[in-house]
Amino acid sequence: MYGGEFDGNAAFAGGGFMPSQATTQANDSSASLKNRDVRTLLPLTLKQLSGASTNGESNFSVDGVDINTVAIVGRISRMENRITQVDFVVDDGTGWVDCVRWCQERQETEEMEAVKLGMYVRLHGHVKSFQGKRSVNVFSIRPVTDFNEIVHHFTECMYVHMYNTKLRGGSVAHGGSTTQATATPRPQMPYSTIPTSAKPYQTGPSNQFSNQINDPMHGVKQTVMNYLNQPMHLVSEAGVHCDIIARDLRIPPLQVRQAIEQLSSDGCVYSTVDDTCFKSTLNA
Amino acid sequence: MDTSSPSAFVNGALLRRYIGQKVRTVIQVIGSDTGSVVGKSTDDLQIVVRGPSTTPPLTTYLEVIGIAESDNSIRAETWTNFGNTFDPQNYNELCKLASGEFKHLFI
Repeated sequence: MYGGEFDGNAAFAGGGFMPSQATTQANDSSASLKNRDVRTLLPLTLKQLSGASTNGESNFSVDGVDINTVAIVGRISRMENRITQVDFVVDDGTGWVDCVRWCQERQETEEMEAVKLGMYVRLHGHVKSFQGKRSVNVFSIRPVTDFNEIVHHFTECMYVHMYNTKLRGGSVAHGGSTTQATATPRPQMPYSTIPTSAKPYQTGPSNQFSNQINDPMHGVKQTVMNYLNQPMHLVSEAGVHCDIIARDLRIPPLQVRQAIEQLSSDGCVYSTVDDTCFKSTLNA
Repeated sequence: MDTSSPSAFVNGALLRRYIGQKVRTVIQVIGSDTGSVVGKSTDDLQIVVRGPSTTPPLTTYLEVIGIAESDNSIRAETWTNFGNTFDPQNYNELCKLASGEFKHLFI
């Protein structure tokens, strides 16, 4: 009797009885969208990591980019194997940090066995904070075999730092390593290992940039709007006939019609006397 | 987590800036004696490294971490063989950047 597929939420959703369902879904999707957006892998020096700003709750950020996963390259200066976990200290020359590697799967244990005290390693992990002390929860570690990797890692740290700070308009002071956290941080381009264009990428629902790419009418619509937003047309009660718009702008009437239809459904223009004369909704 | 005793990336020319402080550098080994190794820094200056009396077998490139004693010698605490295929020019540029424009990421 209770094993049926009766989906109460779906049944009541239409009638507006469960408004929370819609909002929680929206929250979840936006939360997961946010998580996906800030899934960063940042190569950092331990000096940068120690200077990362935090808003409590293990949310760290460096250069305005939220820290999700970090990549560190350094020497193991202390190591204690406790069967289910390995506690070790990694020193990269700029500082040292406590690390923990949980070894529950055979593959994890084998990975840790390849790592010895005094070795240079590359590790990836999440940053944790406990009672003010920062540590790294490592989920991937391997010995460095080609030592050019060390030079590469530090060069990459410098590059990423420069990339992220440049996108903020160079507002980061070089003196302190903690960046001032703005109240409403603009969506930044988190550095990813996939090469991307240098343009800042803006996420969010009002993604007009991508709309422009997909909308071949955009140019025409913009021109028509500029025309209708001129003061003399704004004040005229009757609006402008669309053929006159076409003639003045030297755009084919069919295109003007199409543009006006789209602008009208967007709420930017409205028809006045009949459905051939239009006015901008600006100051309406 | 602690950043109170960093080791600065130095080449031959930068070593003099950090006398008495902890530094790290990579040298190309020219010769070794009991308790010391003579090498060429990544910017072609001579550096003497004083370390433990028993020198293990050395590869072409050697990383030394220790205290800078003068503008051309280091008292090593740790040294690591960096193999034979290390690129000294890259390292040299890294030293210059790490002591210059990007110093705040390191020290």
